[in-house]
Amino acid sequence: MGIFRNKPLIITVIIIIVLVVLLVASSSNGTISQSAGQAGGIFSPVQEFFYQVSSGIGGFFDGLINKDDQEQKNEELQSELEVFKSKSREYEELKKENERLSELLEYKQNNTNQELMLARITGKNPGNWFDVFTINLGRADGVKENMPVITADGLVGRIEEVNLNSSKVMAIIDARSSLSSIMERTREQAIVKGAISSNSLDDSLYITFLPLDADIMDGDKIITSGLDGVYPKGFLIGEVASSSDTEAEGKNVRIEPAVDFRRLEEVFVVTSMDGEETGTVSAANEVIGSTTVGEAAQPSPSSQPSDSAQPQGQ
Amino acid sequence: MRYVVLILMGIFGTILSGTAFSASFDLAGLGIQIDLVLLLVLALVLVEKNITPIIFAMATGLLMDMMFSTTLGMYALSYTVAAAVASIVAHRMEKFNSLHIFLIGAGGYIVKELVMALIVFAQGARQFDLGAIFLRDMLPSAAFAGALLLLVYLLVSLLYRNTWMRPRMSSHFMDEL
Repeated sequence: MGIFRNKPLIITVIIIIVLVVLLVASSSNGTISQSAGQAGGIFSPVQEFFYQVSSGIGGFFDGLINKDDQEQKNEELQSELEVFKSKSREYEELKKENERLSELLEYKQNNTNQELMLARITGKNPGNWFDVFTINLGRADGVKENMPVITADGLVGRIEEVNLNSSKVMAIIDARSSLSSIMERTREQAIVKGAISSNSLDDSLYITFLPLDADIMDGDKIITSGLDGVYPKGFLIGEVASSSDTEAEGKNVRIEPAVDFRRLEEVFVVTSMDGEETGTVSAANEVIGSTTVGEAAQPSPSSQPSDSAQPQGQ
Repeated sequence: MRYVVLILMGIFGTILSGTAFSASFDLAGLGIQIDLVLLLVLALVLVEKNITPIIFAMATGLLMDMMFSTTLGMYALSYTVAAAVASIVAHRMEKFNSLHIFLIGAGGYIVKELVMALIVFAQGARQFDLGAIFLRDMLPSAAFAGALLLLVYLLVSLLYRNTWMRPRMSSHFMDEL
């Protein structure tokens, strides 16, 4: 049997079998992937550098698209113009960063009940099947699993895996994500889920199996209810983009996330709310149990529940 | 030297895949994903007639899993299977023309995505419409991967013109079958 004497083939088959076993083991046991994540974390500074550089390159091309007329300049001025353009890009980049950080600072100042840590995004898993980001804060900074991650615009996701100096964030648009929510206007409760869309440019969230008589209008704001024990109450998830009725599944609602996931650069990790540590299911439940949370959690002025003092579960 | 270059290629390919090439870009309303690691793996399959591309696929895939994924083995398995399939196909061809390279690039991308879809399905992540994803997402990206493989193959084969990059001996797993 020549097949059993064929070393390369046997090695290939063994590699595939080992990888399948590893995949199954790491899916059922978080410690394996966490240990591997620790090793992967050593590349975090290099990752951060490349992420920042690539964001800069993206900004450069955006700038070129918006400044077509600059290509018409004559050759004599070209070199001077290049210097100017380079400085201008640097300035624009700094200005944009300043605007983003000012926005985050303003949010932090308006929400003193929340302990927030600013984190930079250092990478994203390639492909469209999962939406996981890596950030530059880890266990050494006090980050724990299940801590909510937000921006001034709204909810981003939760910490899924913590390494020493970096963490992985599962975005709310990830197909595995599922969170408890309430409609700000009607106080109707629903489960918001991420999905694998047929178009990778589509970052929509979905609510399914709502009663057909549910009062939904385009533009309705959806906020976290706090009932899932992970996300505290009051964070803005997004707005209703469209809804459709089906007899079998009830009302299906498509939600446009409040956060632009394609342009994320800095985020906040919420380490505590009202003095209660986030990041554990029990801690999150304690925060939900607090009567002041509905009033205290104000991700942005626009996202504040219209009736924030309303008791939980209504 | 050969292994140093391969290791550096793997590390930088992985880092760039998770940073500069992590997001899909919009091409006439279609989301195009560039998978740099897969392109390197497939280019190695075309220039090397041994098990190195399979080992490279596994190692870079594991690195990708450690750095960007929360499930160990997801990228590693999909890259390894894609490399193995491409290797079998490439081995049957005496010579490559541009169309062959394009088809190996596009086919390799589709195989990798299908393996990932299978993993996602096995994990019970969510129901999804594979047909729609295949038409709207995989096919355009696969065509793009095929076109880009021509360029990456050219660059990698230029690198392999150096004697220090060439393997000392070469045997393919289809040779003895």
